[in-house]
Amino acid sequence: MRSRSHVVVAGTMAGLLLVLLVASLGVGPGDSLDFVTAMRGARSLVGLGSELEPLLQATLELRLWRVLTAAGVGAALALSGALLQGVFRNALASPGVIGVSSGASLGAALAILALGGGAAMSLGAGGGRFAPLFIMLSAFLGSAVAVTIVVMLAAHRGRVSMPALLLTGIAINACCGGLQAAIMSFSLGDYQLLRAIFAWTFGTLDDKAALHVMVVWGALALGVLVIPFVATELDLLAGGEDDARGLGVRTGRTRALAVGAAAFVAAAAVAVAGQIAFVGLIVPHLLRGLFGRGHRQLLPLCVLGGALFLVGAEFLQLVTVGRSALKPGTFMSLVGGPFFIVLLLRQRREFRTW
Amino acid sequence: MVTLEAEALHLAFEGGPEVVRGVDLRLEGGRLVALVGPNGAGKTTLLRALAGLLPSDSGRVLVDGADLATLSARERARRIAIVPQDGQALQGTSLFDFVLGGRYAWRRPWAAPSREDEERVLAALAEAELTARRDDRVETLSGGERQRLLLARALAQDADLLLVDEPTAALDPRRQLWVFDRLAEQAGAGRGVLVVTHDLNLASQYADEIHLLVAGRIRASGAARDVLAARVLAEIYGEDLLIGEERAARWAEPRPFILPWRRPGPPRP
Repeated sequence: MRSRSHVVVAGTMAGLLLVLLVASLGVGPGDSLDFVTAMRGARSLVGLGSELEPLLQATLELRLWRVLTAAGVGAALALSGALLQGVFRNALASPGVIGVSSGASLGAALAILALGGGAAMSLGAGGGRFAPLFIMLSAFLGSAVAVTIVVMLAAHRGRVSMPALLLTGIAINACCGGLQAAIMSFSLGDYQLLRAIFAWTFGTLDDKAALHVMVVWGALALGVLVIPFVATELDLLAGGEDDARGLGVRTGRTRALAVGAAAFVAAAAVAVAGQIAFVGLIVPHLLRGLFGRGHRQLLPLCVLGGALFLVGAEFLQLVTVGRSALKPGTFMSLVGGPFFIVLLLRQRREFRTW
Repeated sequence: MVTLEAEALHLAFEGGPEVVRGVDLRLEGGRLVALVGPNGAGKTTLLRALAGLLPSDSGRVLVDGADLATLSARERARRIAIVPQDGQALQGTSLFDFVLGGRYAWRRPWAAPSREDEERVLAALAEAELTARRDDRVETLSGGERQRLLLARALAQDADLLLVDEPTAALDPRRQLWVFDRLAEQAGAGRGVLVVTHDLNLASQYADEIHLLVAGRIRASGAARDVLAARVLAEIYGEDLLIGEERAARWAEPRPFILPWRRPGPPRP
C-alpha cells in the first residue's frame, strides 16, 4: 500500500478519535452533559468563556482528564509495543516483557505501602494531592529500575543480545511479581491498602487530574520524536543484524533508541494508569495485519490507533456496562483475550511463519 | 581506482579459536577475485570482516587507504556492498521495497526515496530480471529468484566494492553462469568484486585471481592454473578429483576444471 492511502487512514483515525473524545465527555461518572454544555465547559478550561456551575464543571473536568489520560496511555502502550515487536522481530513482544509493567507495579505498591491505603485512595484536598504524584513517581522509578536491571543483565561487552533480554525480562518480572505478592500477603489485614494496590494492579482511569495528562502526553511526545530515527532502520533489521549493518544501519543505536523510547513511554503510561494489558500487544498486531509491516507507517498509526483503541474501549464500557463497573485492565483482558484468539485464528498461516 | 586491503588480519569468534590467522589480501577495482577453500576454512568470516561487520582481533582492513573501522556505518555501506548467502527468511515486503533497502546509506533519515533512489532500484531489478515481479511479496520468490533479489539490492547500493558470499549454491547451471556473468560485468564496470565460492569451476572460469584459504591462512594465490593445480588440490581436497583443462580465446593460458570423482578402491583418508 502506498503512503497516500496511509495518510487517508491516519486522517480518518484522527477524526474518529476526536469524535470519540468529545462523545466521551457525555458519559461517565456524575450527571449527564449535553454537547453544548460540555463544549462550553471545555472552552472555559483554556480561558475562553465562563465556567459551568461548580458541580457540572467538576464532572466535566474529571471526564476530560479521564479521556485524555486514556488517549495518551493507549497511544503510549501501542507505540511501545510496536517498537519492541520491531526490535525483537517477534509479534509477541509487549511492554510487559522487559519489566516495565511489573517494575511499575512494584514501585506503586511500595509507595502505597509507605503512604498507607487511605491516603493512596483519596484524591481530595490537602495531603491527597501529594499521594498520586508520589505513587506515580515511584511507579515510574520502579519501571526504570526494572528495565535498567534487565538491560544490564542482558548486556555483555556493551552489546545486548535480544534473547538474553527476553529471558532476563521474564526473570525480573518474576522477581517483581513475587515481591509484590509478598507485600500484598503481609497487608492482608489492611483492607484499604490492599484495595489501593489491587486497583493499581488492574489499571484505573478514575480520579485523573491534569498532572496525569501532562505526564503521559509529555512522555508520549518525547517517544514520538524517536520514530523518524528508528522506523526505516527497524524495517531493515527484519533481515537480521548483519544484513542491516551491511546496508549501513547503526544497529546498536537503533536498538538502544527503540528499546529506550519503548520503556520510557510505557513506564509513563503504567505510572499514570496502572497495568492495562493487551493494548501494547494487540494494537500493533491489528494494524500490522491491516496496513503492512513498514514501520514508517506502522509506528505513527499505532500512536493514533492505541489512543483510539483505549478511548473506544472505555467509551463502550461506560455506555454498556455502566460507570466504572470494571477496571480498564480487566475489561481489556476480558475483551482483548478472545479478540486476540480470533485474530490469531484468522492469521494462522502468517503467524506460523514467525 | 578503489582498493580494499587486508593487512595481517586475525579473526576469532568470541572466546573461540582463531578462525582467520594472518591474512593479507588485496582487491582492486575492475577485478573479479574468488576466495575458495574447504568447509570451515574461514571464508565467510573473512568476508564479513572485509565488509566491516566483524571487528578484527589484530590487523586491519583498509578502503582506499583508510582504516575501515574509522568509517561511519553509512560511509562504509556506500563503498562496500555485501551479498549475503541466501538463507535469511525474507518476509513481509514487496520486492521493490526490499531492494530500496540498498539505498539506505544514501538517504537522509526519514526522507522519502528520491527520484534517483527509485531509478536505481528499478535499474537493479531490471538487471536481476525481476522487473515484472516488483510489486510481489518477497516470500513468493523461488530460491533462485531470492538470490537474484539479494544481488539486485547490492547493485542498488551502488558501492564500488562488491563482496559476494556463495551466490550459486541454490542455482541451476544456467543461473550459476548468469550470476557470474553479472559479477564479471560489475568488475568490467570498474568495481572490485570478491566472491566466496565452493565452485572451483566457476572460480576458474571467471576470476582474475583466486585465493585459496585453508584453515584460516591463504594457502595459494594467483591465476587459476597455479592455484587450482593438481598437487595443491589433492593435498586439500583429497585424490578423488577429476581434473582437466579448457582453452578459450579470451584466456592467455588454459584453465582447469575439477570434478568430484570417486576413484576405484577404498576411499582415501
